[in-house]
Parts: sequence; C-alpha cells; structure tokens
Amino acid sequence: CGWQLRGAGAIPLDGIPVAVVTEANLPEVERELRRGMERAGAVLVDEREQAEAVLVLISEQRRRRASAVDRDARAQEYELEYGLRFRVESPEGEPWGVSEVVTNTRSYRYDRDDVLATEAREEVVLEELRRDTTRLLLARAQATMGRNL
Amino acid sequence: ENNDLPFDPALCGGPISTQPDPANLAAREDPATPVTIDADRVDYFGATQSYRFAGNVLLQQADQQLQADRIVFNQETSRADASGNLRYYEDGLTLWAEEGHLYFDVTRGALSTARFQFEHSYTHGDADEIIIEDSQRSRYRDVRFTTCPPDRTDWWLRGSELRTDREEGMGSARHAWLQFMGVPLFYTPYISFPIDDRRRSGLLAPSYRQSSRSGFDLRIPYYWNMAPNYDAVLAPRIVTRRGLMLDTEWRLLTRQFAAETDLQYLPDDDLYGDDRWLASLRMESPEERAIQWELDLNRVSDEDYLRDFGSGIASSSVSHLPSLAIASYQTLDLRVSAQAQTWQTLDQEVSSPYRILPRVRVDYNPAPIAAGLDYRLESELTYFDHANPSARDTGVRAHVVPTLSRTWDGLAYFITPSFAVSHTEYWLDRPDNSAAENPSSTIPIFSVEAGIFLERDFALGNRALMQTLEPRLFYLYVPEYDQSDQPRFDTRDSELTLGQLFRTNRFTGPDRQGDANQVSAALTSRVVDRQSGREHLSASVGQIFYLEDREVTINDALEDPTRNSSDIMAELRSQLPGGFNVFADYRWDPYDNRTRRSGLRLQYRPQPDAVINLGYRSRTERDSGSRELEQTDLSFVWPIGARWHAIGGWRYSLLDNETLEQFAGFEFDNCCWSFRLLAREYVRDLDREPEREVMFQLEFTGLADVGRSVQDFMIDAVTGYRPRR
Amino acid sequence: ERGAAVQLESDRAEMSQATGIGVYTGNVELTHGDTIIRGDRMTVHTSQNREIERVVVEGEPANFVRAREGQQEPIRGYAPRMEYHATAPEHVRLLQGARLVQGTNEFTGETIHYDLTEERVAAEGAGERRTRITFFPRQDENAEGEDE
Repeated sequence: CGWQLRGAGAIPLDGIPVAVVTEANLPEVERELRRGMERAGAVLVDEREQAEAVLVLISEQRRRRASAVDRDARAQEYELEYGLRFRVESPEGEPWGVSEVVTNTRSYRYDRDDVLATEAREEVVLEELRRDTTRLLLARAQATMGRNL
Repeated sequence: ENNDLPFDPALCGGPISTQPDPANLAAREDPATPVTIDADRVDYFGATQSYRFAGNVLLQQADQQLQADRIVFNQETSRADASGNLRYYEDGLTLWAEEGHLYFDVTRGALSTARFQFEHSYTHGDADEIIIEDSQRSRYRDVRFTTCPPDRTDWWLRGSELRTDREEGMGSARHAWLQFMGVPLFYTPYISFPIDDRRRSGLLAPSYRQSSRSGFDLRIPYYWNMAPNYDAVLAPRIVTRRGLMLDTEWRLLTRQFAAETDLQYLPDDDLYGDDRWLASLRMESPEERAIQWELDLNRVSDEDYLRDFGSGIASSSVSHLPSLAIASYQTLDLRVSAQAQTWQTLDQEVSSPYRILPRVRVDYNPAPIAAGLDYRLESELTYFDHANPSARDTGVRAHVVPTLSRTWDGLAYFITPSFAVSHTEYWLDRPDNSAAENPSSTIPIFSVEAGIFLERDFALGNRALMQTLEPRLFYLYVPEYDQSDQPRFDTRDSELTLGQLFRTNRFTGPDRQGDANQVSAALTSRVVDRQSGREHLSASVGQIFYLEDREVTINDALEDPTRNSSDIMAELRSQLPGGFNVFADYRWDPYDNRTRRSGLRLQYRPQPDAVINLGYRSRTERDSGSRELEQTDLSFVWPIGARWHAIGGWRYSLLDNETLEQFAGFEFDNCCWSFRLLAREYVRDLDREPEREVMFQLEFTGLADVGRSVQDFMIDAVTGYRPRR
Repeated sequence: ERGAAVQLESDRAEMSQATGIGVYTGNVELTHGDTIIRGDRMTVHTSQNREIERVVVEGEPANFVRAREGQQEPIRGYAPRMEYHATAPEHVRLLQGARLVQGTNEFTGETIHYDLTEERVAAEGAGERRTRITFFPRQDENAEGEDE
C-alpha cells in the first residue's frame, strides 16, 4: 500500500553544501540543526560563501502560563509555549520566503510543595519541546531549500 | 504583520506622506551639494549678493526643500526669508507657515503661525512659532499636537512649549494639557514621547481597576526620559480601600548590562494595617558576550501582596516567588553554568522549598569522536540550604554522569546503544544524627534505542502530502541500588508522558536513580505537506513493558511498582490550514480500566488577533481513583469590524461544579487611541465570595505604550492571542 | 566702457551706410572693452556718429563673456538670441532659453536681462521653463576666505 523506507525516493538535500548561522546564543539548537541537516544528506560548510543555501536561526521564544488552577486560584499545571524563529536565504543573503516561527506547547504538573522537582520537570519538558520544535523547523527549512535550489 | 509603526494602516489610512528620500545630513554639509532655486521670476543684485524670487519659488539643498510665493535670499549669509504659503520639508518632517526665515548653511531659523508633521510617528499639529535650532532640534511655542489622522483628531495635547530632538527621536512638552473629545483630561508639567519609530514609551496610559479586595485602584504613569539609555516610569496609584501608593520602574542600558527595577510602596495599608511593598531587580548581560549572566531578584512585603495589587492569573497563581542569579558560558561542545536560587513562599499551606546556594553544572558533549561514537559528561555540584535546617537535611550533592553511546543511522533507521554511570555523593548535615552523613551511589545505566522511518506519499485534493510511520523501541537496564539513605532534595516521580518513555530515570532528580529492566515502545505517525514541510498532523501512542518489578520507590509514587506494563500514553497534535488546531493528550490505565489523565484543546485561530480556545483537562489520583482535577476552559478574542475586539473566558471546575474564573470585555481601537475594558471574577477560596475585578485602560497611540495591563492579561489568558501591533 | 574701441571680425559682412545697419555672418566675434560677443549671425545698429547702439546676435547658442577686474570669475552668457545695448544703461538681453554663469553660480530661464553697470540680473520663466539659480554655498565660502 505504498509504504517504503524513508530515503528510498530522492534524498532531499543530497550533497548540497549548507551553512547554519545563528543570531542567538543557542548552541544546543544549533547543534541539533547541524545534525539534522547532515542526516538529510546536506554537506555542512562553515562559510556562507561555500554554501548554496543558508539556514539562519534568529531567536527562541518561551512563555509560561498557568493552564490549570485549583480552588484557591493556585496553579496546578503550567503550559510552556516554545517557539523558534528562523529564515532560509541564499548565500548572498537574499531571503527565500519570510522568516517563520515554529511553535509548540506542552503542559506539566506543578507541585506546590516541591518546587525544585517541578523546576526539574520544566527543564525536561523544555528539552523535549526544543528537540521536537527543531525537528519541525528542519522539515520546513529543508522543504524551502528544496523549492529554491 | 510585524510592521513596527505603532499605527495600523487598516485603521488609520496609509502613512501621511509618501516615502521621503532619506535624511542626508552629510549631504547638507558637503561642498559638492548645490543649492537650486526655481521660480517664475528672479532679480539678482550683485552689489548686495541678494536675490528676490517670485512665483511658486522652490529652494532645494540635499533633502531640504523650502517652497513659498516669495523668497529673498542672501547668498553671503545664506539666509532665506520666505512669505506666502511657506512649506519647509526635510526627511520625516514637514512645516507649513505664513512666513519665516531660515539660514540654510546651518539649518537655523523661525516660522510663525506654523503647522508641523512628523511622518514616521504620525505626530502633527500647529504652533504660534517654530524655532529651528539646528538640523536635529526644534522648539514649538503655544503648540498643540496629536497622532490622530488629520480628518479624525479625537485628542490634542496642548503645551506652552514643545521640544523635538530628532537625533534622540524624542519629543518633550512643558505645561501640557491633554484634551480628549474636547474635554481636558490630564494636566502634566512635563511629558516626553517618541517622534520616530524607535518606539519608546511615553505617558498617559492610565489603567483603572475595581476589585473587591482593594476597591477603586487608579494608576496614572508618567514617563521620565532622563537620557537615551536611562528612563523611568513613576506612577502614583490611588487604592481607595488601602491608601496612596507609588509604582516605579527604572530602566538603565549600558554596554555592560541592561537593568530594570520595579519598586512599589504603599505606606500603612488601611485594610492590612502595615506597610506594603514590592521590590524586584532584573539585570542581564548583553547578548553577544561569551559569558551570559542574569539576575532576577523579587521580594514582596507579605504573601497577599501579589493578589491585592497584581492583576490577572499570572500574579494570583504564584505559590513561591523565585529569585535567582545565573551565569553561563556556552560553546557548541561545552556548557558551564553557575546558579543560585531562593524562593519567598506566598502560599502558607505549603512548606518553603530548598534554597540552592549555588548549583554549578558542567555539560561536555563534543562532536562524535569516531564515526557515530558520542561521548557526553554531565556533572553538577549543588549546595542545598533550608529555612529551618533543624527539620530538613541540608548539605552538598555532587552528581556526575559520563555517557558513551554509538549511533548507526541513515535516513530510514537509527540504532543507538549507550552506556552511562550515574555517580551521586553527599556531604550532609542531618537532623536525624543516626542517618549517614556521606551517602553515595554509583549506578551503571545501559540502554538501546532504535527506530525506523516509513513513508508513503498521497494527495488530498491538490495538496501533495506524505504520511510517516515511525515505530521506536527503547530497552533500559539499571541494576537496583539501595538509595534509601540518600536525602530527597529535588526528586519526585516525574510525570509519565510520551517523552518520559525514552528517559533513563523515572525520577525528576538525581537523589534517586530508578532501577529498571524494561522496554518502551512507541509509534508515531505524521502527515506532512511535501510542498511547505509543515506538519499538519502528528499522532503518537506508547507504553512501557516492565520485565522486572521496580525496587527503588518513594512513598507517594505515581505507579504501582509491581505492574508489568505502564499506562498507555497517546498524544495528538494537528495544525490544519485555515487555523484549525487540535491538541490532545491521553493516558489510559489498563490495570484499573480508568483514564488517568486527559487533555484536549480545540483552537480556531485564523489570524493572531482572532482566537477561540475550547479546552478540557482531567487527572485522577492513583490509589483512590478519585478525580484530582477536571476542568473545562473557554477563551476567545474575536475582532468585530476593524475597530472592535470582543474578549471572553470561562474556566469551570467539574470537580467542584464551580466557576473558577470568568472574564469578559472589549477593546476599541480608533487608530490614535484605544480603549479596553475588562471585568473578571475568580475564586480565591471556595467558601468565600469570588473576587471581582474591573480593568479599564485608555491608551493614546504613539504617546504611550506604558502599562498595557489589560493587553498583557489578554496575552496571558487567551492562548495564542497576539495583538495586531 | 563708453569710449572703448570696438573690433568686429566675421567671415562675411554687409554694411548699409544709409540705415547704419551692418549684418555679419559666419563665426562673428565682437569685442567692446572687456565684453566679447560671439555668434553665427550679428546685426549691428550704429548711431549717426557711427557709435554702436544695439547689436542683435543669434547662434547655437550665441554667447558673451565679460571679465571685470576685482572679480574672480568672468561672467558668461549663452542664448539662442541676444541683444546687446552698448549705450547707457549698458545691458544684455538673453532670449529663448538663456543661461548666465559666474564661476559655480548659474542662472537659467526663458529670458535674462543683465545690467552690466549696476550688476543686476532679472530672469523670467515662461510656462514650462522656469528660472533656476544654482550655486554651491560652501565652495564660495572657501573662495571668499582666500580673498580677505
């Protein structure tokens, strides 16, 4: 019924030199983007000049809000809204399409009597959101590059 | 939709003037720049080197233009005297007058009975006299100005004197009266405001609240711009049932740091019978510095302060007010951070948390050494302190986890075995002096994660789509190690979620490393638009199969350690074109045949300022099986025409069949001023009357973006809402 | 200027003693004191006692130059048609799209009336073609700086 292993068809960015540039101080996201690009077959280059396409990581956005409150209006659950703004452009800096924001949300339980455990839980959720949002960003960036190369 | 002009062309009509050629101050001084003067007729007197022009005269130099019926120009002094329909133009500024003079070489002059207009910030008005001091600064006497479109000037700010400084992008007026719809509304001895698009806050966004806790609460902020990098907002605040209060915000920007302090003080609160205050300090290092540091200190006078004076859920739901200081250094491979954190507990029913003084973390994760061989070292050293050390363990914890993993992967598959050792050691002071002072544990962790990616292309209508099928397995083996003599500083059961399936510890902190002999299995399917790469749907389901019972537990564990499979976790996330979004997560307990946790949110969001959210959320206790939480919530912001937005929200607890919170209101935006009114009722204590609040805000666009309390509430209360500008 | 001699050269010349009008054609050049007028065709009107009263010159364009002591730059005028009145008040009328230049200052317009003794200029536009003055304020300052 049409199922095939990924990559059986054309490999999206096979052998294409790509540079990953970041305007924000986000090494984890940058490293994940580099590995994602390599997995998609791209050849990572350091200088934009040697690249055919440039992925620019612009900023990270985080917002935490109380998504559930209990009977005395204290937070029971928090929702973390996470976003990465990026754009794809030619080596000369001419943007392909407008800069986009990939957003993602997850909620986690807030224990009033163990704030440290909740902080640890928030860090785990943030890590998951970061990995998932980076994957969403890569899919969009690779599709945009595919259209413009 | 991210134009940074504070004006929305849909409401205000296009910007007042066409695109001016950019101000070219250098060109004005450049000897190669000519002065050209066109006219119907000119007479030149060589003896006095003066010209007399008549008939639609146009004098131009670089971006400066002077038009008038008659101009007398003296070449020696380069002074031009103009009269009759005078119009002076330079980039971003246009002046009209009956008559005036201007020294063109140094741009100095004066115009009488003049009208003026700053294009970038729509600010325009008229004055008895305009004195142009130099190419950047001018003064206006007996002036009135507004940011409303010329045909709809709903408000005017009148002043004895207005100064504008285009280098700073700021204007300031003295003895100013604000007249709104013909009614004098405010007087201020001094006001400053932005005159270009470098948006800086101004004055006069009064916000008013009526709440059963504090009564009538009116706040009028004054913006005080002391220097381009140093300004403050001083807001006297009348709280009828409590007294007179002063809110202040101070901002300072230097090359070394950006700092912002909020200081609020209410002497002798009538209701409370004591002084009330809030002090907070936020400092940040500049973005580009290698070592990033941040300071965020917060303190309030008492636990009811935020509820009495804060507004919205953000302040009423705080149980512990955090203060922290962080310094971190990051490269691609290494992350070193030092952090200190304390809390002020506001919620009396819970004990105060441990203080972290400090926590030092080193996380080293270099690029793969050989092909696919990945080495990582996570380490942490933390000193835990507590408010009453006689009742709780305090001391130092060291935690080091070296991990070695090898990844074989291609586009269609990956397999990653990894081996780690989790070493935790303590140096403690303990109230129970029979307990070990220096417990430690060294536990090996072995895991293998594997997955394959299957894809199939298909089309729906004219959309080229692709569906993926991603089965994933994770085997985890951790031998059992008695850690009962170790304290519990920050360790509890971490909530079972799909992400947790692939983590090596079922507890949130290193005080306990869970023993494990289990296999997690998960299946994810996504539908992706091949053209844009956008993921329209992602559905996942997963479960853990335990091959052995768990020995390491903590008293209120979330799951029976002898079960041989975990709850089934499922998650659905879909973002369809047109703004239809569904977010759902579900946890089914096959042992007790019960839903343990469910959450559903339906969202229709065709544009950032048009959002409707409908949500349901439930959670049940493990042992009793009774519901811990079951709530529905509705929230929306919906535009009605170009000017109005309706706002509403309702949060209902099915558990207590009681409305926990409801709010309703509207926003009216008339280009140069906007008005927001919102009424809110929330339960603070079930056996007492719900708290009622009314928030109102009148904002003069371009003059002030200070104190947007109602708009901040909307962003917080309605997920996904972003104001149009 | 009044008594200064007048030289006149041209390829061809026709004199009419009766009317006192001479017509000169072919790169005509008239020198009167420190005023030189050049053109393709020049009609010279002289008074009874053979004094030049009025000169009409045409060219593509006709031009005149006037150098004055005490002034840095000579004054130059260009126009398809010019009228030079030697008698007091000595002046030149430049017609049909005129241009007057002194150093970096420049006058243009439909007609320019240049009064040589009073050093006064009057220019007028016509319809589309309006008068335009162009000068470089800062260059003149340096120039004058040296004078003082």
